[in-house]
Amino acid sequence: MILDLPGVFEDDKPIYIQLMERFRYDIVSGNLEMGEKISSVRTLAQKFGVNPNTVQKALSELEEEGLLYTERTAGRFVTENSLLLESVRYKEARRITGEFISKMQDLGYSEEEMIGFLPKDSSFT
Amino acid sequence: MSNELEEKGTILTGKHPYKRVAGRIRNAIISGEIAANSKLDTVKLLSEKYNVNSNTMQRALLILEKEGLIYSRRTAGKFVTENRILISSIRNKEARKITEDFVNKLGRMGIAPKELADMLSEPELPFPKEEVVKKGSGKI
Repeated sequence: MILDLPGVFEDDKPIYIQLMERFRYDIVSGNLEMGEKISSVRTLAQKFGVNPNTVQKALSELEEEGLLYTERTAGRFVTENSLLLESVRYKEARRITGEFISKMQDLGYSEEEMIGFLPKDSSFT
Repeated sequence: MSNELEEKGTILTGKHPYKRVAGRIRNAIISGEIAANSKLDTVKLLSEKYNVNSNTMQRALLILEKEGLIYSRRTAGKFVTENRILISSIRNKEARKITEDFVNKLGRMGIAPKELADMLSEPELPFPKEEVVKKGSGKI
């Protein structure tokens, strides 16, 4: 299920985008499992302390991406398309990697130095 | 949820504005953008530059003062420390924190260290084309 986290948002990005990133991460990291039912819009809105319309918008966008689907009466579910999940997982990983690189660059580190910070036990070549 | 604590530093981790501003100025100092031993702009100027009110800026500077990164001279204003060892140790600590967050985040997505290295060296690796997989979102 979606992790409990009070509504804390950065103010340099639209909240629905941040919600999308959050839900997407929950899906690709397996916090939300394939085929799992998503809480209702109302519940999620309360949980994150945001307007239901904002949650609705985030979920619709994820539906567009194919990560979620709606069954008329039963509610909203996580896709069971593992190929799609895999592709989104890598895309998300690249985005997170990009964030890492730019944060490290902000501190003035070169790419070689960044790699030096990564766990030593990994087999880098 | 047990994972909740680990969520620090992820996408949605909101911070108070004064902490965020302190973070930005800290980065500017440890990256050398604001030089060691140099005089800081006045609170008023800094507030304008970082687009926060002056109370927020005061609070942010207080954090950095406690960390020892800046100090006040009674009448002359605020200065960046000349202690370069302190600066580089804070820089190192920040970098380790950022790296740890990054590794954890990918780890929880099941990305192995090897894959992670590939991503660093080749951020635009070809992955399954989206067109191919976009369609089938339906349930089996």
